[in-house]
Amino acid sequence: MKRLVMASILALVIIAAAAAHPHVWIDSQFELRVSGNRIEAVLAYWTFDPFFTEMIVLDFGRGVNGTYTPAQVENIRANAFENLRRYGYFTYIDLDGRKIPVDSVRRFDVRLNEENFLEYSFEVSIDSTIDGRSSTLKVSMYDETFFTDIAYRNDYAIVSGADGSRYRKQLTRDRHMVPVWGPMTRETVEIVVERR
Amino acid sequence: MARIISSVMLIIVTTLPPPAQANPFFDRPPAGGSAAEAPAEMDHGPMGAVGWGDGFFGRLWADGTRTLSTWQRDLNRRLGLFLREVSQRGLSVGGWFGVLSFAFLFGLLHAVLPGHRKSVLISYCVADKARVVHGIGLGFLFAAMHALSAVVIVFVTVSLVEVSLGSTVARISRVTQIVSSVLLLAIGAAFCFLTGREILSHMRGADHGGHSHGGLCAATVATNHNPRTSKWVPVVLSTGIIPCPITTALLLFAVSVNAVVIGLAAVVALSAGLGVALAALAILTILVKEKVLALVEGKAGHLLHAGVELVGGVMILAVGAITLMLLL
Repeated sequence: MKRLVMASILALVIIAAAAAHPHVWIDSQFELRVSGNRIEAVLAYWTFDPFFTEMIVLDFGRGVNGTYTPAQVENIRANAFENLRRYGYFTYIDLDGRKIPVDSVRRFDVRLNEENFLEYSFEVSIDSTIDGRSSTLKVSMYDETFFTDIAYRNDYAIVSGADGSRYRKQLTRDRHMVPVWGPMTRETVEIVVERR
Repeated sequence: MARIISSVMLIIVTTLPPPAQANPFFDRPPAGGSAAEAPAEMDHGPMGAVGWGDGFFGRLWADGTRTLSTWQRDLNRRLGLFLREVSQRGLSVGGWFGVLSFAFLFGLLHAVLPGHRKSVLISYCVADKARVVHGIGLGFLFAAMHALSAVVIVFVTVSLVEVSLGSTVARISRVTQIVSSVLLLAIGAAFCFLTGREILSHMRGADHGGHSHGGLCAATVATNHNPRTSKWVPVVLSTGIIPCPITTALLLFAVSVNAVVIGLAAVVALSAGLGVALAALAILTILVKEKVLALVEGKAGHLLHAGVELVGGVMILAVGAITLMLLL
C-alpha cells in the first residue's frame, strides 16, 4: 500500500510537469477614466521583462531617450502588438455583469521606462453611464495559452476624473479553468464607482 | 485492486498531450479558436470554478504554477539586469560566477515549470525499457538539443535577416514545431508497431510458469539489459529541434546588448539546469514504472508491461498528431 501511494504521488508530480509555461512576463496596471457619471475607458499599462524588451529593441530600436517616433510606434504596434487582437489583447472586462468585448483598442503607445524596460499602453473604450447608484467594473488580464504571464503590480489600478465620486477597488484571485491546460490563478481588479 | 489502480495511474500519467504554444505577439492562435471572447462568466471567489479546478489538486496546480512563475519572473528580471550591467562594465570572476549561477537556476526552474515536451520524455521512458542511467542521458540530451537548436536559429537569423528578428524566430520556431510533430508521428507509429508485435508474439508463445525476475519473464529481463538505445536519437532529435523560447530570448538579448560570449556561456549554464531537471524527471518516470509494474507478476504482468509500453508509444503518436493539427 505504501508503494502504491508513493507511486501515485510520483505519478501526480509527473502529471503536474506536463502542461505549458510562460516565456514573456508582464507587470500590468490600468487607469479607469471616469467623467461625471460616465465610465469612459480603461487605459492599460504593460511593463515587459528585460528579455522581451531587448528583443523588441533589437528589431525596432531604442528611440531617443526611450521615446519612439510616431512611425516607430506604428511599426511596433503593427508587428509586435496587433496580433494580440486574436487573443482579445489578453484583457477581459465586465461591467455590471455585462461582458465588454475587447476586439479593438486605441491610442497604442510604447516607450522605454526609467529602468529601460519596454512599456506598452493602450485604451479600451467602454463609454457607459453609471447604472443606478453605482457601477461595478471588473478587469482581468491573462493569457490562456500560458505563453505570457501577466500579473498586476502593487499599484494595480488608478481612477482618474472621478472628482466628487466615491469609488473603492480591490484585487481578488480565483481559479479559472482553461481548456486543455487546466486551472490557472486569475487576478481580477474590481472597482465600484458610485454615482455622484 | 492495487494492480488495477496502478495500471490506471500509469495510463493517466501518459495521457496528457501538450498543445503547441504559439507566440501570441507574432503567431495566430493554435487551432481550437482564439481567446478573443471574454469568458462566459467572470467567476469570483472559491465557488466560481467548476470541476477539478476547484478541488485540492486544482488549487495545488494553479497555486503551484503561479508560485513557480513568480520565482521565474523575478529570476528573469535579475538575470536581465545583471547581463545588461556586465555588458557595459565587463565581467570579473565573481561576475562570471553570478551569471552562470543565475542561468543554471533559471534553467532548473524553467524546466520544473510545465513544458518543454516533457510529456514526450515521459512517454518515451514509459514506452521503452529504459534504465536510470539512460534517464540521465536522455534528460541532458533533450536539454542540449533544445538549446543548440535555439543557438543555431538565432545566429543564422541574425546573420541573414534584416527585418524583425523576433517575428522571424517565432516563424522558424513554428516550422520546427511542425517538423518535430511529423517526426514524432513517425516515431510513435514505430513504437506502437514494434511493441504491438512483441505483445502478439508473447500471447502466441511463451510459457511463464514458475519463475520471478521482479515479475518479468526471462525474455523481458534480457531485453531490459539491452534496451533499444538506438531509438534515443530520433526521439531526442525530433523533440530537441524545437528551439527553447527562453534560450532564444536570452540570446537575442545578448546580441542586443553586445554580450554574445556572456550570452552563450549563460545558455550553456541554463542548459545544464534544464538537463538536471529533465534527467530527474526521466529517472522519476522510470522508477515509477518499475515500482508499479513490480506489483504485478507472471504473464499478466508481462502483458501489462508491454501494454503500458504500447500506451507510451500511442502517447508519442498522439503528441505528434495533436500538435500537428493545432499548428496547421
